[in-house]
Amino acid sequence: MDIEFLGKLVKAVGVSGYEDEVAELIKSEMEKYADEVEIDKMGNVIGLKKGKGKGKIMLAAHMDEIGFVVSHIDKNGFIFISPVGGINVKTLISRRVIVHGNERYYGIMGSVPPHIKEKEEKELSIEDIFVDIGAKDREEVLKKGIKVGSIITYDGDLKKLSGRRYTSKTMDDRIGVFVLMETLKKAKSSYDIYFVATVQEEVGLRGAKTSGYKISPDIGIAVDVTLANDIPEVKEHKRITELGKGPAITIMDRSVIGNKRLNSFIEKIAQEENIPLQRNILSRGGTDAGTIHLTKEGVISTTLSIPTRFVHSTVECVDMNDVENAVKLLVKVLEKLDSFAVYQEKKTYSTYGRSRKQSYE
Amino acid sequence: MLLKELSNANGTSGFEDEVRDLIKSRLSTYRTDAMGNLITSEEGKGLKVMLAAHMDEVGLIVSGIDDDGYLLFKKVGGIDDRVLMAKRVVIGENRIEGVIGAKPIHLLKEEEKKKTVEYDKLYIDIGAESKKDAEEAVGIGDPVYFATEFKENGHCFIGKALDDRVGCSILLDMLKKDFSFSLYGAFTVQEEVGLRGAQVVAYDIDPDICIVLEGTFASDTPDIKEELQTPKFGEGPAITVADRSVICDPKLVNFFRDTAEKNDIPYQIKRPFTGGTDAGAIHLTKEGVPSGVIALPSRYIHSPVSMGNKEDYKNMKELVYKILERIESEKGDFYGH
Repeated sequence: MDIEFLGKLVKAVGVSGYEDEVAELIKSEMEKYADEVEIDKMGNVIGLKKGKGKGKIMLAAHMDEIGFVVSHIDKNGFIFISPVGGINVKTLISRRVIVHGNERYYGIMGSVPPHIKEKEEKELSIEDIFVDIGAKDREEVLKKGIKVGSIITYDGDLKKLSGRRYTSKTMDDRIGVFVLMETLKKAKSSYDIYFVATVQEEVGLRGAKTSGYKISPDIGIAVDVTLANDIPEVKEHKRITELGKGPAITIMDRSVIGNKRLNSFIEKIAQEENIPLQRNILSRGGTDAGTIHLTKEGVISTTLSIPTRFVHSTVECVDMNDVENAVKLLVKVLEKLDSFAVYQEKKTYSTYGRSRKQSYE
Repeated sequence: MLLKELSNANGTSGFEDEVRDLIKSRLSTYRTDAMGNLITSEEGKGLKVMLAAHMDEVGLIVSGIDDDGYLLFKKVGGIDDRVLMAKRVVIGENRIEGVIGAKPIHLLKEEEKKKTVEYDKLYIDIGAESKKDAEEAVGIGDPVYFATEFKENGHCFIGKALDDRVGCSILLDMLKKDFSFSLYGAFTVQEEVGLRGAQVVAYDIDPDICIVLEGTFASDTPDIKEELQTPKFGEGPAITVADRSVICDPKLVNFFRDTAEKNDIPYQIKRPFTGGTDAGAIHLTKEGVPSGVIALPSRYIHSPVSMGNKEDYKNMKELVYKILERIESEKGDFYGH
C-alpha cells in the first residue's frame, strides 16, 4: 500500500464545499489507473474502470473534512468561527489550526487560562472558541486576506503509531478514499466500476446525491469510517467495532439500512476468503450510502467501514490491517459480482389483462 | 382474517420479508424493486393513481451480547422508551423468545421508581446461560419484534403494527376491484426510518396523484386534553390536511371530504402538523405529486398494543373505494385532468 500517498491525502485541504485541493490530488492519482476521470459540477471526482457492461457499481468515499469558516473578526484581531460539519467542541481547546487567507497562516484556538476561571463554568459552546493568529488588531488580519467566510482547517501530518496503526486529522474519510485508490489498482469486474470521491458528505451526504443520480448504479457501496470504541471504560459489548478485527459492514445507521442480500453476499465472500469482517450498528451517524440507496428507483446499497478510534477529532486512529482487509474484500466482491443477482422479482401470469381476481382469495 | 395475518407477520424496517411474502401470496401479478418495495400495476385510461401503504413496523435490533448472554439493542423507528420495559419479544427469523427485563419493585430505590429507563440501559433476556449460549441462538443485527398476537374484542381489534398493516390490508382489498384508470399499488419499505421506500417507488411509478393509506393515532384517551382529542376512536377514518411531512393537496382533501359526505361515511380531520407519512416523500417526487392521506385512528400506536375499531376500518375501506369509484366516473375531472 502506498503510505506516502496516504500522507499527502490526509494533509490536503478539503473542508466541505472547498475540496479543490484534495480533488486535484485524487484526480491526478486516479488518472494513472482508471479509464476515465472527471470532476463534475459539484466537485465530485469520478473515475471509471470499464468492465464488460454487465452493470454499474458505484464505490463512494467522501473527500471532504470537517473544519470551520470565519464568522467574525473582532477589533483586537481575534477570529470567531462557525463549524462546518459535526464538531465536538471539547476537542478544540488549545488546538493548532491553519487559517486560509492570501497564504496559510497558523492560528491557535485559545481559551481563558484556568487561573481566572469562574468556579461554575457553563458548558463550552462553539461561540466561546476564538482563533488567535498573533495579529495585533483587525487591520492586520484583513491585510492577510482573511475575511468572513475564509476557511480554517486542522493542522497535522500522518503519524505512525505502534505496529501498523496510524493517526491523522482526516482519517474520516481520506482512509476511505485511500481504500478506493488501492482497490482501483487491482480491481477486475464484469461491472463498470465508478470510483467516486464525493464532496460535502459531512454537511448532509450532498455530493453522493448528485453523483449517484448521474451514475445511476445498480449497486452502491460507501466506504467510510465507523466508531471503534475499544477504549478504556467501554465494555466489550458496547464497542460497536474494534481496531484490527477487520472492516465492518453496516447493518443499520441513521441514514441507511444496509441491503440484506448485499450484506449476506459480502459476508459470504469474507468467510470464503478468510477475511475478518465486523458488523456495524449505529443509532446515529450516516454515510453516503444514505443518499445513494434512494437514487431514482432505488439502488442496492450498503457501507463498508474502517473501524476508527476518536472519530471527528484531530487524532483519528486506524489499523492498516483493517484497511488492507477492506481492499482485499472489495477486490473479491468486484471480481465475484457476476454471481450476485441484481434481480427485481416479477410475477406475471400469461393470462392477458386483469388476472388479479382469479387467484385472489 | 387478512388483517390478523398481516398484524402477526413480522417486519421491521429493512426486514420486511415476511410481510412482503404474505402480501405476494395474495397477488397474481407484482414486481419488487432494488429496495424491496412491492409494486402492482394495472394499466388503464386517464389518471394514473398510486395507492401506497408501508409494510414495515417499528421494532428493535440486536446490537450487542454481553458476557452473561443478555442482549443489547437499538430502536428501529420511533418508540417511546417507556413502553419497552417488561415486554415479551421475539428475535429473528427463528422467532427466539425473549423478554425485555425490568428490575423488580423490591429492588428499586425511591428515585428510580420515578424515572424512565432509557432504552440503552435496557436489555433482552433470552434465558441464555452464557454469551456463547446466546450467540448460538441470535446474532448482532437480528431484528426484534413485540410478541403480540392479534385478538378481537367485540367492536375492537388489538394487535401490533396496525400502523400500517391496516393500510396494507385495505390496499390489497382495493386491488381486487376493477377500475378503468391506471391503478398502481405500492407496498413500501422503510417508512418508519424516514419514508425511504416511498421515495424511490414514487420516482419509479411517477403517478398523477397518490393516496396514502395509513394507521395513525387515536387521541381520545384520559391522558389527553379534550380539545386535543382528534382524531377519535370510532368516529370514522381520519383525513390529513397537513402533517409534519406534507401539506396535502387541497383539491384532493376536499374531494375526499365531499365523497365521504355524499356517501354518509363518517370521517374526521387528523390533528394538523403531527406525525409524518409516505406522502411526505411522494409529494416531492420529480415535478411534484398531489398527495392525500387517509388513516385509521388507532390507539397506542408505536407500542406493542395498538387498538383499532372495526367500524372505522369498514368505513375507511368504504371511503377509499368510493373515492376510487368517483375518480373513475369523473375521469379525474375534479383535478382538472
